[in-house]
Amino acid sequence: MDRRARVTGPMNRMHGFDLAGCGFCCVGLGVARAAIDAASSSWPPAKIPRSSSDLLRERVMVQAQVGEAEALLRAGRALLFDVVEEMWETAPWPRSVISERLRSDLRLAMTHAAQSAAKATHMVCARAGTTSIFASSPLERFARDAEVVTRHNQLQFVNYEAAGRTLMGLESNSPLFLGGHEMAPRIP
Amino acid sequence: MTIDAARARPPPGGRPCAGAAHPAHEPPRSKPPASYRPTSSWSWPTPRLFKVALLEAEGGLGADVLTALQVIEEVSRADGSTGWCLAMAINTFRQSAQLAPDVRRELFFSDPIGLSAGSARERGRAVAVPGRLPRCPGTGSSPAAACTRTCCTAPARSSTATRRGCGPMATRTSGSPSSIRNRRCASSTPGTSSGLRGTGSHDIVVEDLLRAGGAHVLGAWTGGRA
Repeated sequence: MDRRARVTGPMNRMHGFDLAGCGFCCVGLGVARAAIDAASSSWPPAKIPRSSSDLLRERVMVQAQVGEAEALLRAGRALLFDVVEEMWETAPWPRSVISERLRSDLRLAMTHAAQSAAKATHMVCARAGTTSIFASSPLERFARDAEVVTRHNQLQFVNYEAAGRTLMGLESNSPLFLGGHEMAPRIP
Repeated sequence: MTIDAARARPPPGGRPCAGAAHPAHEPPRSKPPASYRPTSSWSWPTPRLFKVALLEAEGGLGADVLTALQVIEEVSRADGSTGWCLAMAINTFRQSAQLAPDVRRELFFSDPIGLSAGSARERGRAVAVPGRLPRCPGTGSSPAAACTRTCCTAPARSSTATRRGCGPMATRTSGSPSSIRNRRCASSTPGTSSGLRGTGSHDIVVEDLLRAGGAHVLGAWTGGRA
């Protein structure tokens, strides 16, 4: 095993932790997408909460929260893909070094994406009331899955601290985005 | 999820990752039998998606990182556990670039390819268990990768990782990379996590460990415990 990738290619110029974290938070994004889709298209069609005479989907609060969840999800996703794209534009150059600042930005974006996805998922699941707590409902699984994603060490809320330190010009204290060049490929 | 359980409750056909049980078929939360032993083999589909980020020259699909992430996202939309396994597999294949060419070929491009026995980031000290294979410690994410039939960069014999952070793998790994053959592998603790339970985290039972270099170790067992 070598400290540096033996296969050259843009993908191998990105740090393994960065790629892994991106992949994991995309799981959260996918789960949240499924949850919101379920809420907007296959919402329990005939559910009338006991506290209301309206169909669940016709309640203003529910509609607003589905809208807010959509905004949360798309904002988190947009930031992630924006930063990833910037990193990808840097990666193809053979001697390029992905800066610590860029890696910090990516950590920030992937943490935000995962956290936002979980919030969005919980938001729509909560609005479904008790429907979302039964194993027969996909919403129950969405809520669990989205939450688990945020518990991964790469996506926990605490990663904001490390990103914030970098933004404030302080020395990074996160092992997750130190040594950005170490995993770079060997240059022939 | 045991092999038998997986067979008894197969995921819906056409799913890209047969190793990850669909959560709808999740078994009840219970402790695995202490003497669990898989008795038969799993049959796996060709994991083309696992190689989505590999160069085309290497048999991959040559996707850029954005496309790879979109693939993970889309799969996760259908099934979070499967998406997680796919994410793990894509990154594991990418990390295989750090292996020597012959080792890499054997672990990642032979037939059958191996399974991941542990995180590429080894975090502890391997423990020799009498009658068993060396235990790969700190493999919190390994079963997910195992279920996706990816390959392994876990050390069979490792140094203690004392460095803080993510130093290069070479400083953390003194043993040979090893791989669990896909035919003898099962997660032994189904449903012990609250979510993404279809990944099989966090324990794994194997009976066939392949060490790079061709030496097979059969009939032994290991339990990776996070």
